[in-house]
Amino acid sequence: MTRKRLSVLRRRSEVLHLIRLFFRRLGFLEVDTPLLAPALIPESSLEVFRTSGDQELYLIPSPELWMKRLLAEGSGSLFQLCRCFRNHEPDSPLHSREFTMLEWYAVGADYLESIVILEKLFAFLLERMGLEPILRFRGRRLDCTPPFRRLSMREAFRRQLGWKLEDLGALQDLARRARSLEVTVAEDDSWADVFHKVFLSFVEPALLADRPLVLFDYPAAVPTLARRSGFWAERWELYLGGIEVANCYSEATDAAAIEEFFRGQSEAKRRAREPHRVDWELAAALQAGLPSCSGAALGVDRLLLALLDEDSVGSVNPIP
Amino acid sequence: MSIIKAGAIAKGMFLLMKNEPHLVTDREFVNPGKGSAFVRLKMRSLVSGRGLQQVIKSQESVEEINVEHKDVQYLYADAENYHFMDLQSYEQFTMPLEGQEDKKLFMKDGDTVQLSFWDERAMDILLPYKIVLTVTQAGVGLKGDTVSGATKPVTLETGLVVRVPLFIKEGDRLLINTETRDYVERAT
Repeated sequence: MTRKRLSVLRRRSEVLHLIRLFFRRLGFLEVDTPLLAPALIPESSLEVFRTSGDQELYLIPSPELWMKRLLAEGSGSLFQLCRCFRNHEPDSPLHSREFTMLEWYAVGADYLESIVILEKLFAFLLERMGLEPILRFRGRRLDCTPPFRRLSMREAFRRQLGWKLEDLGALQDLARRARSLEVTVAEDDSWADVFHKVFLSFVEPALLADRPLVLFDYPAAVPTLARRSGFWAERWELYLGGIEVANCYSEATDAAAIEEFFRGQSEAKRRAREPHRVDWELAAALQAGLPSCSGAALGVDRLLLALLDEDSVGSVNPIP
Repeated sequence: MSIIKAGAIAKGMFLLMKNEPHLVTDREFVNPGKGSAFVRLKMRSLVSGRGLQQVIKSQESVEEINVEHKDVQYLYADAENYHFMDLQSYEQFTMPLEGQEDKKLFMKDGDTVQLSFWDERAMDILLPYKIVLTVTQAGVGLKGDTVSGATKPVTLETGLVVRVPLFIKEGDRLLINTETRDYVERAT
């Protein structure tokens, strides 16, 4: 093994250790839940791996289903570092079918408070690793001095396209605007599909990359388990050097909203390449007793890319 | 012509998009994590040469088109068009320069090259991975110029300028990588 590679692996081990230390000091309980599940939260954008054998099981695309069960049972704030699996997403420098996720749930907190946890986590990692707050990543400066840049989706669309997104709540209005930008709108596109096409074509590529960016308040029409507030949902995503690294919600606790999400996504899941059983027990548990909390999921491999200025998730893994 | 899912699109495929044949020059999977999964495509129109970027759902259907490849003789280029001759029928035809002006730098008059055709129209020039070109102008490299890694620029017969080691002189035949536009080695 080359010295360089060994040094990357030592850094990886250090980061995993420091993440654990950080959350333990905050009083979060570390859990290690199963990687195999008999039923999952339906998420139409994800395809899963199915086992063969005496019982059909699935490799988890995220530990959310288990961690929320524990929260509903009264566990208090939790965190976990584990492997997650996503099928039919070809490996690339920024993505691997199997990757390491940090997931945390802060009981009593909302999505904005989770931004502060995120900033503190970064500061802790940089300090303990002996790194300056100004990193170099993808050939550019990445100034991780807190506070991180915060940008609402509303403002991102206004700045980049001059659109007032909340006035385009009707699919035909959004589709008309999208077509004017030569975006291909398919007949069966939902509002969320057209939104994503425009976002991914024009807004995301223009996001400023010189500081970590927290893009917050996504349209509520994008199906998630984030708490809604009118047109918007309490959700953010973290971008490092233009790359999406984390996703966070104020978790929905409203029974009707949870029901709507599970029903809608189960329906959409029927068209999936890898359909799976839906974890209705979890839906019931969430409706019965998920405490008010904020949950965040952060891709550890992508975080390492930024911390170590590497360009491929393979190069920051023990087995590339 | 066949209908495929966007998730199956690969770089180098030909698609019918907005009623024009396009070559896929880049394909990236993007999953915003919620809702649908998408592919981000970069394409070049084979008619106008214009670049086109599109984000579509992985599950969306697109039309893949069958493109034929044929050997032809490259005659010359004028300000607007490339001129070729079909090696079987000896018929001459043209193809707009736009979008692939740079290919001029890798073809010599009289060369046999491969073209892709769709609907009997010439669409794209397929260059070999490596070609041999002769040096027409070679200056003297500055001795001790280690900053530039001891290389110098030379001009090749097509007008292409590449950086080469100092020992290369006028009249040398060089192997050139057409993708990176880099000097590979001296051809024997």
